[in-house]
Amino acid sequence: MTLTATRPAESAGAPTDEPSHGTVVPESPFTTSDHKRIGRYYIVAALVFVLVSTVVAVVMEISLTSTSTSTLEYDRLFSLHSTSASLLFLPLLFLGLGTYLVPLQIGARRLAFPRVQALALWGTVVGGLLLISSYLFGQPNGWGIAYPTALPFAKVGASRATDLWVASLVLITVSLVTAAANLFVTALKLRVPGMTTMRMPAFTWSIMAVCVGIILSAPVFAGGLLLLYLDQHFGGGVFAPAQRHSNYLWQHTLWLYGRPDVYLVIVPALGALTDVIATHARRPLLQSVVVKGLIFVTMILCFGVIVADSSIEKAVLIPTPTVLTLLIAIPIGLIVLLWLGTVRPKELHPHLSLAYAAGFVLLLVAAAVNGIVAPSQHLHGGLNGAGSAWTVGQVHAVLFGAPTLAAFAAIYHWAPKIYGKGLNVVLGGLQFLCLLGGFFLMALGQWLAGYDGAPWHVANYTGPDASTWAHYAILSSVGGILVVLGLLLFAGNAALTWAGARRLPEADRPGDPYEGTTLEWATSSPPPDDNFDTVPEVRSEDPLGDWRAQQDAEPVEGAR
Amino acid sequence: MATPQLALTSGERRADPTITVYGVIVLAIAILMGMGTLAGAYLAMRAGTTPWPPKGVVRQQYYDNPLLVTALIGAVAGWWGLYGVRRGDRRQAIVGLALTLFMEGAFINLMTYMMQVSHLSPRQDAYSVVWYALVVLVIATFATGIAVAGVVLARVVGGQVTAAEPALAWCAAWYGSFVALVWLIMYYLIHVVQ
Repeated sequence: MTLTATRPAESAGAPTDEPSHGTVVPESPFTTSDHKRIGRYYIVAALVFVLVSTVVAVVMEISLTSTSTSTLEYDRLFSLHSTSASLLFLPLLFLGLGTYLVPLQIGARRLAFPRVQALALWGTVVGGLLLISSYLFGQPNGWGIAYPTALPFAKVGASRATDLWVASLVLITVSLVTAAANLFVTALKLRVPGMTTMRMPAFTWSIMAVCVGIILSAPVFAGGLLLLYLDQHFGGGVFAPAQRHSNYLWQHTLWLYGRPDVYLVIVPALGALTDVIATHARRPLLQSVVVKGLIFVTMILCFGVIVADSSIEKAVLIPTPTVLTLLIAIPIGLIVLLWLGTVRPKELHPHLSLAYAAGFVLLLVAAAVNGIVAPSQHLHGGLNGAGSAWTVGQVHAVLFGAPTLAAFAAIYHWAPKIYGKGLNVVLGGLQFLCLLGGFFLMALGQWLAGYDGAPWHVANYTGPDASTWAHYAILSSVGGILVVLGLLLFAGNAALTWAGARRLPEADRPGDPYEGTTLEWATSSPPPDDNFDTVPEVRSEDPLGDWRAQQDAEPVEGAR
Repeated sequence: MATPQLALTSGERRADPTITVYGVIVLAIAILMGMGTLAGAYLAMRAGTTPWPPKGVVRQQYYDNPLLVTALIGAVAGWWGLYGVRRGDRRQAIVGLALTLFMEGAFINLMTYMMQVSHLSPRQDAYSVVWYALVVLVIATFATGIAVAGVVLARVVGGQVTAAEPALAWCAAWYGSFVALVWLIMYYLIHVVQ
């Protein structure tokens, strides 16, 4: 059974309550109001930025094996890597997927403010380019956004690199808030009749949740950046070590988004995987309301990590700061259990996206096991606290590797909708092996170095164990190279699929290849400019299931 | 050319004029979070600095009061514009919104003048850095207020905002009050909290 019918020529005049936005301003990549186009641009931008960031990370790891790298050079690379990876990859990738899919999943023809989303996209791209180019403008004033104390206030106003770096972060943050606000209003106000918030697909729900998090926290980060810019450029000394409470200020402004930001990417990852698993399980999601609640709880708990490193600074007097970080594992673990409860092996539709979903869970489990082993190592003096290379491994497995695999699960799942045909499975499988292996090796090198007592964030390893640690750094570098290879494989796969899909006749582009349950599968692939000709009416969480039941009862004339 | 289409039953959909209102509310929330950050920074610095205000800082109370009056007139004018729209009185609506726009522009003008005569420099001390950050945010907020009022004014002139569809005028009125509130927060921090 299929869900598509032939569009009569006169149906172009079907409900036009939502005004067309393509008539006044000519369409171009900068002024387009097509959310699907903007979403694709977001995804491409994210992949370009992560390639830059990963190459920088590999260079940093390789530099650990030599003794000639200066601290300043390492700090510059670290700032570039940490900020570009945390702000310009996964947030953009999920924003891109959200921009493409949210209007389709809620049955809307457009975003609430289509051109504002284009503005936010290009603001982010320009900000990202400025961020990378700041590296070329000489020596920076500081070390990154992790600690204020390294700011050499004697050199205030001397660094264009830091000015550019901070300004680019402001531009990126404002653009992210703008895009998040747009998606939030879209999900809130443009839903089709009958689609209550609890009937929204899990991915749209998770995007809405993460947008709430971004809208509330990113402006705080922007306020902190404004202070940082004025402070480091002019030298008033708000963040100077001599200023009382400067650490409080730093942590409560620059960390309120800077820290949770890297955890918030888990939220849309959970939503996307929930939709992926529910679709391929061919069964209604077990306790879907509970899953949505847990996704929202995860978003709220992300803010607990603001105190994750506070024990070091003694700035936030909470006796067990790590508990707040560990709490996130509870809703995520429960969601994984509900996924497993949904799947029945005999009914499962095998799909590559499920392998990526399994990789997501595997990496989380590996990190969780490490989290259990680490305290015993710490007791034996092997682990160097939160300042250990172990933490770097944990961060890269949980906050970079796992959500990246989830994002690619989503891309492989929705590729038939985005491109008109699915991505190549062989290349996709190779990419999966490269990414999973790469992330695991990347983290393993850091975990092992940490267990051996290696510190984090140093330009060179020194001391009697330096040569052993250097071997671990090589292991991480190999992991990084595998990740780059996986990303390049995806770029090639996407380009080939895109070119191949354009040559396919429309009849060979299935609108609903999986017998999906959510509204994006109810239109053609790729969807037409206005997404839907007729506006669906939703009566449950499974509108397409309702439609199929209705078709079985009384076939509609014209349906194929 | 035949194109596949959705074959679900068609639900009734009406254009929702409140989308822009929601967008402006979210914008206001984001600005408020940023303002709260800087207000928190100001209060934290106040708690850690003795004497307060720091030596060499002279508060410009004379300019702050005209600024408050200007912001409040702009806010009231926004409601006047809405009143005109709801009554179907286009002339009053245009005058009200134009006055909002003018007063918000005047506010920015006076604010930048106050920055010049305050003799505070972000090179000077931490107090001045936070003060400058607050001023920059307030100016940016009023600039967005001008943009909102300008768009609504253009729509009123173009006949797209009418008594039947006044949602955008509500936007201008509420946002005009919101920008005045942002200034009130800064005013309260600097003059009322001692």
